[in-house]
Amino acid sequence: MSDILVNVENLTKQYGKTLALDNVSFKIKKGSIVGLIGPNGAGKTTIMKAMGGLIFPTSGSIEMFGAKDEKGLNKARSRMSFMIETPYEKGNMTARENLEKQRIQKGIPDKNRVDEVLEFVKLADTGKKVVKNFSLGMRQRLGLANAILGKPELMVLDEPINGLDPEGIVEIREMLRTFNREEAVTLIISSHILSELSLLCTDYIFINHGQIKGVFTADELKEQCSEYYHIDTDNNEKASVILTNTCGIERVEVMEDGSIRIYDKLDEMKEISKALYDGGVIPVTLSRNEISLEDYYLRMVQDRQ
Amino acid sequence: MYNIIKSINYTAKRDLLMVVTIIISIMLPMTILLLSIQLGDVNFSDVTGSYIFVAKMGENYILYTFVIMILTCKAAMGDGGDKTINYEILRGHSRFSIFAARAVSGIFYGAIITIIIFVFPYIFFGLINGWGEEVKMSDALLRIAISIVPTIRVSCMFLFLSFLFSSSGKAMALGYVLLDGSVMLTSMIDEFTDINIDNFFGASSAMKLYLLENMKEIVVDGEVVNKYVTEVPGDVITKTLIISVIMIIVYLVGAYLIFAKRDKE
Repeated sequence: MSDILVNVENLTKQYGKTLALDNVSFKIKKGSIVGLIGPNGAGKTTIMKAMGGLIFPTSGSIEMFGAKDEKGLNKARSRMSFMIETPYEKGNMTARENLEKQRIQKGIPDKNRVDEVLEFVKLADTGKKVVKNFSLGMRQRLGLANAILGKPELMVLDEPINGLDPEGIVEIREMLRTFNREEAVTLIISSHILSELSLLCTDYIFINHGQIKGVFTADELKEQCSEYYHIDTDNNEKASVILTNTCGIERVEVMEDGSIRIYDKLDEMKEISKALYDGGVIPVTLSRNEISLEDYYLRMVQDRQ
Repeated sequence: MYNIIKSINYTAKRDLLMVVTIIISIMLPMTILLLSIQLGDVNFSDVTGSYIFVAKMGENYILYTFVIMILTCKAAMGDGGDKTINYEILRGHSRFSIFAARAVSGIFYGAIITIIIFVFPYIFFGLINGWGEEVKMSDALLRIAISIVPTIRVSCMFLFLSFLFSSSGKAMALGYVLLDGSVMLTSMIDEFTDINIDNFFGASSAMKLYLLENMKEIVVDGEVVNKYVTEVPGDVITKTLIISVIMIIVYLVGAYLIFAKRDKE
């Protein structure tokens, strides 16, 4: 059995003259936690809605759990759960009533499941308090409770930690990690909070303007977001030649402002400095840095616009 | 589909507007009836099931179309403004099963429950004082049974509006305008022309089955009783049923096509 749970190929969605998704393709492996990263309006939610069947693609295909036809996709969705944009809730009902309604709609026979889930997300003691009086964090937890109610194999979560305080973020992160590790749930999570995703995700999909900008595993991204030396000299053009030809450095990057970044031989700075000086170039700035996920993301979406 | 119907029932039982509508639509006519009996020159024991049937109850049917409107729209699309339908789709229910569940619920609450509420006075007085002589019971039952079909037609019109706007509120607002308009139009055409438009609107089609006009006086146990002609002519049955069924199909197919093809944002 294939371990690819989701295979999206050349997915396109057009709203009038606006191209919301432009030939998007990616695969999701079983057991992974995939971060879907992009700015507002990039197309993250549109992808999730297309997977969920809320919107009809203009062209392209979506295959989930080995099914491409509408009947098969509906069956696949019964093995998944979604939390898209705001969580589902009926404001005039209690948490228990909301989940009970969902339990009935989803055809879950076990009536105790509602209590189990409320306990897990720490909403068991909300009693008769109606959802419209809940805090944002409580509503997010209720949304998550709804998402785990049917014991899904794949969860698609649109900004699940949006608007939460740090404590709430840690709670949700730990819950998601538990689902993945203990219940083998595959997760697709979109978020703006890149630092949080970096603590959780095994794979990343970068998207902007409806196009995929990059797909990486966590290890590949770590390599991209590696340490480097930032070098600025009195003659950067000559310096880059010396670094490449004399020092044999393979990864030399000249930045927009003319300064240089080198990504290998970072432990040989003494020899590199001497080579520059011998070549008649005086180093002005020499500092060791690391590319953050945010930096890498911003560069990627700006370069590939 | 069955699970969605169950979840709609779960919400309907907790929907204040639906519960209040049902209670008021039972209590209010009964209260008015009992007050009329109290204040009028009729003995309570003379108010039989058939007495109520001929007492122009048919005109009240138009008021009950507002009950059909509220119950249909709330059952089918009371949650159109929140994400209930979205999460039904996300769960993997097909668009057809979601539509069918909401259509069945809308028709059940809007048409079937309303008919039961509407005939409640006949049943109440029939059980207490007997059926009476004014109308043959079998004919009355036939008229009630036939009226279910145009009542479903009225309910389906509101279903169509509910799916068109994805909102019970908007459907009720336009439905109210259409109902008032149809009542006025029917009255005017009836008053000033010879054109028969009984079956043009579902509400008038059903209402006509409850309005009896031809009668003769008979003597029963020494008392004079107005006996009404209640046999339903064959062509009335045929026209009522055929036109209603056609319109039901038109409304349901139209509503489904709107729902099935529309992105749910």
